[in-house]
Amino acid sequence: MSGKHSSTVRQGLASSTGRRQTGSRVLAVCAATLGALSIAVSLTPFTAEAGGDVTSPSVASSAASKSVTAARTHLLAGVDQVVDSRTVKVDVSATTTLRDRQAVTVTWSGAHPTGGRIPDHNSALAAQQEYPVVIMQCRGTDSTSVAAAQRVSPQTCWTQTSDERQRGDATSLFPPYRVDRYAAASDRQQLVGVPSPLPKACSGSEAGAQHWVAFNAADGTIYPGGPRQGCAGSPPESSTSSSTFVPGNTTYGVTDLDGTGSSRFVINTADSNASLGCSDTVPCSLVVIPIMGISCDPVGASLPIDDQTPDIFLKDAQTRCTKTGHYAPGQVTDGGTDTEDLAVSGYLWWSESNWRNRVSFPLTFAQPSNVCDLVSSAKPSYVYGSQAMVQATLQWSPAFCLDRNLFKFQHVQFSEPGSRNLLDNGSIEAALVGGPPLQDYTKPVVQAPVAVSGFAIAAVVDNHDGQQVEHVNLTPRLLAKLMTMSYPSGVGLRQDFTALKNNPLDMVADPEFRALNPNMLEYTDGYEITSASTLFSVSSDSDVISALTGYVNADPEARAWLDGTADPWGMVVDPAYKGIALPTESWPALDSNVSKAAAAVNPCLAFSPVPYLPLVAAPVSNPATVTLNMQFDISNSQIVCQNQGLPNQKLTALGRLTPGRRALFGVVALADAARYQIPTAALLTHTDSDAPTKPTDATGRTFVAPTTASLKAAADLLAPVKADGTWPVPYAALRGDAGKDAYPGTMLMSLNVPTAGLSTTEAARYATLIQFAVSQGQTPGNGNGQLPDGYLPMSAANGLAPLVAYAKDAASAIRAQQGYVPAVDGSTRPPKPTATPIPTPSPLPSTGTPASSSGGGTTSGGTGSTATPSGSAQPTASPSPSTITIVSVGKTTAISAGVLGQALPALLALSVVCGLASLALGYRRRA
Amino acid sequence: MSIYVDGDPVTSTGQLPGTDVQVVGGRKARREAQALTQPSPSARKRDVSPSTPATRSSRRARRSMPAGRGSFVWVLATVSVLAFWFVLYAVALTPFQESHQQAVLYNTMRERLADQTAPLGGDIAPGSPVALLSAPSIGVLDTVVVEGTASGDLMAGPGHRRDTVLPGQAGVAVLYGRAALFGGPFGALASAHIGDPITVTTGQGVFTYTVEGIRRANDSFPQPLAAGGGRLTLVSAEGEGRFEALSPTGAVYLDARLQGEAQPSPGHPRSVPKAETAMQGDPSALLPLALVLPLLVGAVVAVVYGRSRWGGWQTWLVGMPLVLAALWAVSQAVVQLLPNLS
Repeated sequence: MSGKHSSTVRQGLASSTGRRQTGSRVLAVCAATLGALSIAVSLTPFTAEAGGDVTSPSVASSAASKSVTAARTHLLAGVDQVVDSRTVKVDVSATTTLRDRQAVTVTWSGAHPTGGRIPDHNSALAAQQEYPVVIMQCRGTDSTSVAAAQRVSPQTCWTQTSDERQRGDATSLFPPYRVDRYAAASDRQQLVGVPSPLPKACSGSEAGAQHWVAFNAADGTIYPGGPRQGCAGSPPESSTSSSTFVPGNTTYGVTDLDGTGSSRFVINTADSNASLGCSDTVPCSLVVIPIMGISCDPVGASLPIDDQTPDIFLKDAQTRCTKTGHYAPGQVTDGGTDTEDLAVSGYLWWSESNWRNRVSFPLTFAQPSNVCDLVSSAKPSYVYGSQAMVQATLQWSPAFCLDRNLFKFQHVQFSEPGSRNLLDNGSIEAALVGGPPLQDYTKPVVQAPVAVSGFAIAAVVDNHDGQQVEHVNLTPRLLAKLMTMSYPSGVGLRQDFTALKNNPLDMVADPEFRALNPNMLEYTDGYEITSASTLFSVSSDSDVISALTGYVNADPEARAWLDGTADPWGMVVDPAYKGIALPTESWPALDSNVSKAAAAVNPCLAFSPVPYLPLVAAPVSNPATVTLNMQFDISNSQIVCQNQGLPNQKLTALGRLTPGRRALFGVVALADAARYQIPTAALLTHTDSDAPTKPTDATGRTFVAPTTASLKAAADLLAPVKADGTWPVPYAALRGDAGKDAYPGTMLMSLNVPTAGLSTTEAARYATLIQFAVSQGQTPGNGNGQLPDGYLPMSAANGLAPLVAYAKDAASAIRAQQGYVPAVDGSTRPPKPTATPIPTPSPLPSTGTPASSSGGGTTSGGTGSTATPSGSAQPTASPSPSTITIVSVGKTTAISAGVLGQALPALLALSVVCGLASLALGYRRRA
Repeated sequence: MSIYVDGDPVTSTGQLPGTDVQVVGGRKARREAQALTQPSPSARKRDVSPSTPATRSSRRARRSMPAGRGSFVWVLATVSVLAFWFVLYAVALTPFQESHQQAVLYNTMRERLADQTAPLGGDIAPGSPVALLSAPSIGVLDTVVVEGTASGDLMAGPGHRRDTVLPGQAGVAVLYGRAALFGGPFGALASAHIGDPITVTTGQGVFTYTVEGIRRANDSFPQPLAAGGGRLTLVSAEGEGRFEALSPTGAVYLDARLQGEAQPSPGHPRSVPKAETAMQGDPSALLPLALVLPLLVGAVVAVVYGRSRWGGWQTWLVGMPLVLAALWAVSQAVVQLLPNLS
């Protein structure tokens, strides 16, 4: 029993103990690893938050200015020969905290005048201009102190097409870019940047001398580009043709004869161009290259013998490289292809002779729009309402969500009347609106002023030289003409619509418009007749439409014309709109004329006849669409028949108008116009008593453009109206002498919040938001928490101290939630705080009829009536607002999960602690 | 023969890491010493004290001196792994269970809808399917709703609170759903927006609701329903802080208004036990727990016994499924004790 057996047992024990020990160590290690992992995971948000907490420094002025001395110096027969030398000064209007699609203005002086001009400076074709100023957005910094991969180079500069970054010459082995004296030896070879092996799609493209500039995307992908629309691959954001709806931002700016020029440049962040990838973490630069022409070294004596120009080619190479331009400065292109002198064209922006003259402006970008979702998954407080506040809340909301003591709020763009209805029936708790409610709220709601902004009439019009008109004057009557579909927009159509037979075809042809705006191009035919016949606007209910129609209605000339009186030139209103009641919250599409003439040329209309002029108007439900179209000169008139004659034929939008022949009008928010630099019209405010009723020029009439001064003048006219609970814009007063300088598109934006029935937390949040909005939120600037352009800061200096004081009272009333609404004229006192939190929200009397049902059918244009809910649709599910009574209801009780709710985190912690302990002990034991 | 009575089975379950730790640890430390020095095991069997005769080298003495520590490491590691297993089960494995149950319930529900035998009211057996719920905006797609809201019922999917009308009927219908465990069908409840549609299919037809709002503690109740109107209230949990998915602190409510006409209700129970109200655990799980826990202990003991008697791989092959099944049953009973909305 003893000896043999016991030794077997012992061996078994020994081995099993060894295994156990190993096992326990493995277990301990596993547990410790998992524990460490979970600790790491749980700590990660901290680190991220700490990183995201940095608020960007606010720079008072983000404009920048730089200059460069650029020379064109040939090296001929071993001797420097200076052909041209200029000092170019470049100014950029903004370079910091840029946002996607924001436009900046680039102006320059001292550059070589441009020849062979092409109207559309953003098209790929514009690169063939001679001596343009090339403006582009490039990833990287132009500094030798950063790593080479983070520097600006032609490879990181964006062009919309691959054609703008490659040149090939099958007929000559020594085109100008190959004899560039400043180019590196490797850039003067026969084939530069041509991938090897050559992709199949490119076969045959390696003939002659080729120079392709690859694009290095932000994710590291290299797109070699190449001819035939990028046969070797181009970035997904690029386009294969130059005729896209939204053009690329690479600009071939035109310099006038005096050496100056300016251009509007649209910034793209990673939101809209991921390949370029500019963001708050990836620095980018605005690169401006004044094209001076290639500095030639036709011989190439310093090069390897293969790259030197043989004598037989020398004369030709030198002739082509030293050319100074086919066109005279200022001359417009004759339309021929390859007529320009390549050596001085914009195509060679990447050649070292031009590239070395660049002026670079480092750009910084605002945090992306989703920063609040990234830093916190907490539920936001929603604020519904106006597009006119979007630019402000875009900057305010990061200031809130990045501050740990504050909270996250989100602005949901929604029609203002719809927001008011939702607020009234309790679906939402705060609405950002631009005017008093047409019908009183059925519960205590305070309207706290938070910003002064308004609407603008975007007016993109070219003059008879094809240049954009900077100053457009519009009268309420002209706006009424556009809105009432009274321009027939075509000769054939004018014959069809007998009531309109004496009317001008479009507004630019209207003698009233021409009298007030001299030098306009007389259009003969083309798309611009259609786009100049309408005011692109929204189909949904909107406070902007209320304000616009309020302004039109207050003008006696416009009102008389709407009521049927012909204007001095004989134009009459479309009978469908005769006598329309204004102001209105939504603009109806009433014209019902079906055109035979249009059907004759448009198979879509022949197949299914629909009223024509509503198609021209084509309003959309989302105001952001109007802004986008106005920024990029896109007409939404649905009159183009796509897939003609095929079963899937359909009407589509007119699309982008040709620069040089543009005439486009639309209603946009003032702040949007400022952010995207959309040209805006000056509106009539005052007519002298002795001004002629049939004007030949603008004499005697005052037109006011939206500026800080004109907004301030309008703010001075604001007076509280107790019944409205706010400060409505007095359109009648605008017509008097006092309102002469006031911008009539001014709107007072207010945050409407109930003063009863909100939870304490939410009430405190909205009160905080209002207090912020009228204090720190009114600091002008582009940084987080600041007030962007397009708003008038509400300050005592601007005469708005009473509004700020009222907003603070309103915030207190919201915080208290006692059903008290302070009077705008200061005639009431807040109640003493009482013990009962909800004293008043018992049944309240109702008044009037539902607000939003006036105006009826909105869009019949067949376009935009899609996704975005139009305000009036929302509240129909509930009983009519006029019968709602607010019943005092209980509060949701708090339910705690108790100690068991913490069981799983406790178990996790136990696992971590025990795992770590066992690891530590096991480790020490082994040592 | 006492060698076979190994202490490990007890400690490896982690259930009784109390008194006999010292004894077990003592044995284990001794076995190490035996393995190294190869003295007769019988000679030291009863030698509990770590203090040793002077004949041992100082190195051996140091290794065996922390008598409790070796086994303590064992205990800690086991507790750690077990605790981690529970969390793993609750978070990562329960969704599979729910997904399986949903597949079975969906078939049952489909059959009952086709046969027109889907329950319309009255006293419906807890756990049986009553409705099909679709709320795309919160990620609920064709999910079967079961009757009853006890923690155990909600393991199969969202549950219908038994003292309310069924969805589609006049009145307020209340559905509970878990936020994190068992697939967390209502985990995204608070991300719904006003106006989002919710579709419910019951034996009485298809009903569409639109979201009226999200409610938390101290928010006002929605306005009372008009006569004949219908409302659907979805209830789930939400947490705060770093482990918000694991540790519910409060309930969140989604109210949706019925679009169109409500159907009549044949009646429903007037009250429910406490375990079926929000945030309650189900203490009735203690009984199965009491039954399966010994099963687990027994299975582990059997495995250990079998390994030395029978052989390593045979024991693992037969024993592991047993142990895992018992562990699963224990875990499920434990999770059933946790709040029903988590």
